[in-house]
Amino acid sequence: MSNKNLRPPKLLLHFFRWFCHPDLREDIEGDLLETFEEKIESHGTRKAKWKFLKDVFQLFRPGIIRPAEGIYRLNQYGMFKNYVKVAMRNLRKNARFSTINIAGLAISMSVGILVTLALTDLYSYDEFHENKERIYRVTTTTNRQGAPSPKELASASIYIGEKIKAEVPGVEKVLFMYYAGFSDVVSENGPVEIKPVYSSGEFFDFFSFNLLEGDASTALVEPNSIVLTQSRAKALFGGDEALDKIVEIDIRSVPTQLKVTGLMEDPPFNSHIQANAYISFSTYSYINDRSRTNPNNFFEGNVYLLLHDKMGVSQIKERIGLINQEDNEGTSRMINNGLQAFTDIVPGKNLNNAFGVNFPTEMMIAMIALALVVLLSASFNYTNMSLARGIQRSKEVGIRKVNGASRLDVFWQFITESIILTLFSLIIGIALFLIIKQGFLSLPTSIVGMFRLEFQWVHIPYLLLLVLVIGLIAGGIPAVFLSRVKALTVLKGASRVSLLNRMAPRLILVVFQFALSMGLIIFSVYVYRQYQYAIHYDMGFDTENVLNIRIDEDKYDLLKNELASMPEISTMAGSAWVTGRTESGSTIVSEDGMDSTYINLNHVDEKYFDLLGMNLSVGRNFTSKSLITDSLLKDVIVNMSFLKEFKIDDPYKVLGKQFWNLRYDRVKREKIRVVGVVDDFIQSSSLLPRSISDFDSYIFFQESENFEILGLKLQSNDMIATMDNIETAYDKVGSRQTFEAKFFDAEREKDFAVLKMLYTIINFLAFLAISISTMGLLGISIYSTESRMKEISIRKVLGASFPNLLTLLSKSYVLMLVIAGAIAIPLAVFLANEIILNAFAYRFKASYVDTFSGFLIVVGIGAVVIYWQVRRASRANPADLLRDE
Amino acid sequence: MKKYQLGEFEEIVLLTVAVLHGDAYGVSIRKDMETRLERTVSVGAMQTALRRMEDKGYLSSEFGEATQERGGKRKRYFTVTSFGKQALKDARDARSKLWEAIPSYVIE
Repeated sequence: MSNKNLRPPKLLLHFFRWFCHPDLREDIEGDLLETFEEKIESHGTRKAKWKFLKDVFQLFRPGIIRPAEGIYRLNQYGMFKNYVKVAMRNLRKNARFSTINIAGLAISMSVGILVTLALTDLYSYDEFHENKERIYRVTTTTNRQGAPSPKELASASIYIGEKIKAEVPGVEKVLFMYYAGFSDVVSENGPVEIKPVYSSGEFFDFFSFNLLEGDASTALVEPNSIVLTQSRAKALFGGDEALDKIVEIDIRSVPTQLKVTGLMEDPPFNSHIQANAYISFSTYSYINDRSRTNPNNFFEGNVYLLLHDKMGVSQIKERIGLINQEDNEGTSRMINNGLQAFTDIVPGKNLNNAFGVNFPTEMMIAMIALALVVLLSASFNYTNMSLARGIQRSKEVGIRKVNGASRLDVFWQFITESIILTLFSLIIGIALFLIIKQGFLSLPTSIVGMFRLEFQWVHIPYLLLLVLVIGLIAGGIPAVFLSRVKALTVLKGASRVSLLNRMAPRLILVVFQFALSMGLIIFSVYVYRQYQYAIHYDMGFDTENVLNIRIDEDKYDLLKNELASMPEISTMAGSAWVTGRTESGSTIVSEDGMDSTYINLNHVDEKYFDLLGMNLSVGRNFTSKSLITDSLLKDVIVNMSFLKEFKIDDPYKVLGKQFWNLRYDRVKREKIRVVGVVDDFIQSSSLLPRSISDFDSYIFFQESENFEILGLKLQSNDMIATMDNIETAYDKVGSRQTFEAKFFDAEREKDFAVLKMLYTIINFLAFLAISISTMGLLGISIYSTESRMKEISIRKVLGASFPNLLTLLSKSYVLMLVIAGAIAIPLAVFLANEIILNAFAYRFKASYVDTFSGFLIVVGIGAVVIYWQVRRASRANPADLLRDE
Repeated sequence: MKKYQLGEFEEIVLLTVAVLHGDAYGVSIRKDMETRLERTVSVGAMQTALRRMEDKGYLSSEFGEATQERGGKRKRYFTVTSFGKQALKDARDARSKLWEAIPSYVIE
């Protein structure tokens, strides 16, 4: 009787209650207690506790332990019906909160659905190939002297492919697929664009593309054979039989006759190999014999291996490593080849020079992460609001418990409620998804073409899983809290229950949402500014209103003449390709052979520098072609960085200097003479830091023919009319290629299309995050003003004015916003710099407005919401509320 | 040991219940056994024995009234049924018979 406050060890007691059969529990527990109390009196607390421990473990035996399965849980259906009924009633009763919750969850669900469908699309890539497990792609990593970090390329040299074929066991077949660029084929219906690829005869042994007509084993063996996809064949030959017909394509400006040896099905969307015509590889080799044996020629195509057995991969990798080691001895340029599993291509590593379509893993992870963040944000909204409203439900919980509900029963009840709510959100989310699907699929990059986002049966279990998981996450915490309600306390009419004291986690959630919204806004602003900066960056030459027209070499002069009369054209210049948009390199060696460097180049005429506004600071321009006398000595103009490469300090010293030019596909080397130096300019439009093909030094060879690009400087008030005129002139000339004229500026914008897409997506997510946070804030503020109605009324009666009330009620929010800002701003700026801006060598300068943009916007919205709520609260008539006191 | 399955420990427990007649519940039974037999009794073994014998029909039990003591947990009072009495008598008879059958010079 005396030591009533000394209770037996709680943990042991709980343990006992857990394992003991319910029927036996009461009296045995009573016995334990009685013994315990007596023991305290006789021998003291410590011995009593020890005996208690012994007793509990003695009781842990078969006759007393309850059966493993719940003994009373046979028929839950009745309770389930009740839960559903109550859940529906609650949804209707709290219509406002339910709408807010459902809306928030639906929005985040639509994002979740998008990501789920996108992921299934991505993972379905290349799955239809029978041999996919045994196919590997050979990659190349090279460390050029002086280049920062080695980049891995998806391409490989013919040399290594053939060496592997000859020397590495375990490789059943080797497939070469080499780039052939774009081509236009002339047919009765006009020029048809095809995207051919050179492929060796093993093509159909590797991949499961259906060959509708022709013999798979021989179709790509003979030189000058071509296999077309159905759609291309249709475009070229109409409804006629295509097999055995002749097709003429320009290969390296040489028109070549190819015989159609097969017709294949168009590739499905989920194949990374999307070429629509295949030319036999023997054709390529016939033309390019030199490149076969040069291990440095790894830019131009892909090598695939078909292994006997997937298990042999590591050994094969080792053998290839040995080959590399042998070859690298004594050279300055290290080449290392690796293997990439076929199924790892999409989604996969972001390799340079990738063939076909690609979706880097980093992007996929970013996508998933963002979707998760949005989903969690909305879920926590629900958690927050449920906790806040939990007090109203606690009486119900008390009654349920008195009627026999266990804690677990109550827990499941609230989980059922949240799952039902989530189910509704899913349905609305699907509707929302269908809307944003259109928006997503029309984003301005080709990457979006990789997705179809169609609903399939396989998605149903994923979506249901999503509902369950979200329901659990969102409803878990409130369910746990509510199930802990003690029937006694609540039915006695207890005060502000402990639920309310749990303000801290709720506030944390609100801060999290604010921080998220602010962060996303800031991030998006940064991306946008970088995008604008990038497309307008001064590259060192003038790209405004410069139009580049693609033209056959032999038709160049004709076109030039046709256009000469147009007044809108102020300058015309020819070049082999568009500077900075195509990479073609060469090795320049000093006259004495001691120094050399590999640099980028272009072939241009004397008008080129005028066209692009490039400043020839030293020396002179090319003379017009009529004055070229010495055909053995080519005139060149170099840029300032070229001088650095050859360690020439004084630019004037380089004038008249001669060098050798070595090219890969020609044995001979030619002598060149520097006649002028142009200021440095940015070559790669993407403003990326040095990549393997982004050399600072540049050289312009003087050319008077073999131009494939005609560049025009336009000055026109009516661009459309001008373009029409130009196109007419083009058609007149009778080129074999389709009319393709691109504005230099537009091309630059396309380079950054990825940035633009990123910006659009982040914008969208920011919008989502704000919506969800606003709803969260709305919910919390509605709740808190409602619960303080009495207090507000009293204050009003005592003379508080509206501004007083406003200050009072918004104090806590101000603090939360400031904290959120303190977290979000540095984090967002840091992430934006690390992830996006680091890829660029040149960045925009961020102003204070940019950095605080997110903060200001969210504060603005928050202010509106709070203001609105306080206004409503202060309008209420105190008399109504205080009447019953 | 005919149709009554009664182990030695069980028999003692049953006898103790009979001894305590009307006041036989967990703690009292255990205390009595420990004092009388001068050995410690495992509460688990005892409770299991009690339940088993109740299942077999040798004992019946009922709850007492709830009081303030023991945290409000009621006591479960056991009583020996007539079937249980039979079992006890049967066990005693079996033992006596065996005792009588021992030649006098073996045990005195």
